[in-house]
Amino acid sequence: MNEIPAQSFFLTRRSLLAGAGAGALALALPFPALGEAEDADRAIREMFGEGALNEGRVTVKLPPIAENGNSVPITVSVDSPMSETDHVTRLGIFSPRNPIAGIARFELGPRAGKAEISTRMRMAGTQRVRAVAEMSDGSLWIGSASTVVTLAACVIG
Amino acid sequence: MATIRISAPGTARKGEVIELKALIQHPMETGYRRGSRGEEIARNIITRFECRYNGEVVFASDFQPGIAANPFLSFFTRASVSGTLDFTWTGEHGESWSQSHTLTVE
Repeated sequence: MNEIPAQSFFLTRRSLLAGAGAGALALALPFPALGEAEDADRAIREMFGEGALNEGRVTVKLPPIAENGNSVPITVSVDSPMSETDHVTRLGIFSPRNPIAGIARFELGPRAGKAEISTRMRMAGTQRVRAVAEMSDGSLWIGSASTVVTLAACVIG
Repeated sequence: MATIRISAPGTARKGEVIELKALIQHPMETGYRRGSRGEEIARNIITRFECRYNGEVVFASDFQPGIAANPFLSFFTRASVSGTLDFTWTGEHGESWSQSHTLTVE
């Protein structure tokens, strides 16, 4: 008769832990995720309008881990011949986590020769940064990359 | 006067795509930080960067506070004729800084 209560105790404990774990996950995951997507989406729409976003052609390079979110090197390149008839006109970088989703906007043209820019950005936390390119034919292309940020910008100033 | 660092080749072959690097000393204050006494530190950022090749804008950029302090940019242009490259930064309060670079195209 001793074993049955023991077993039920373990089962309760396990289910409790599972329940607590699920609860913690539910608290931690959806709220930032929801806010993230919406802010960056809205910023992209404000800058580029309502056109269809095609995946591809845009490559975002970020370090896998950034120790300091105050300055993270980022390189965005677009697969484009950069000719008079086919080139990138605008390029935007968007962060789903920072207080302001739009990071920077770049204006390029056929005289650029190569559609690649590098800069350094602030990151308020671990996130997947997106870049959108507008081509001379009006099509929009999107690419992204993520970085784990150990020390976020804004927190340490 | 802010310190400006430009890295660009002095000579290039005609048609060659050259990399231009530009860095300016600036705090890019976000307006979200607070000082040691809890007072808000006012936002102060550079909002615009332009690179002119013999007067024609070949690259431009608009910054938000998400760009790190001492904004660094690397971009490309195709060398066509000898001339000057003018790099200009404009702050949100209207101040501006610029530097020129001479490029010889062979």
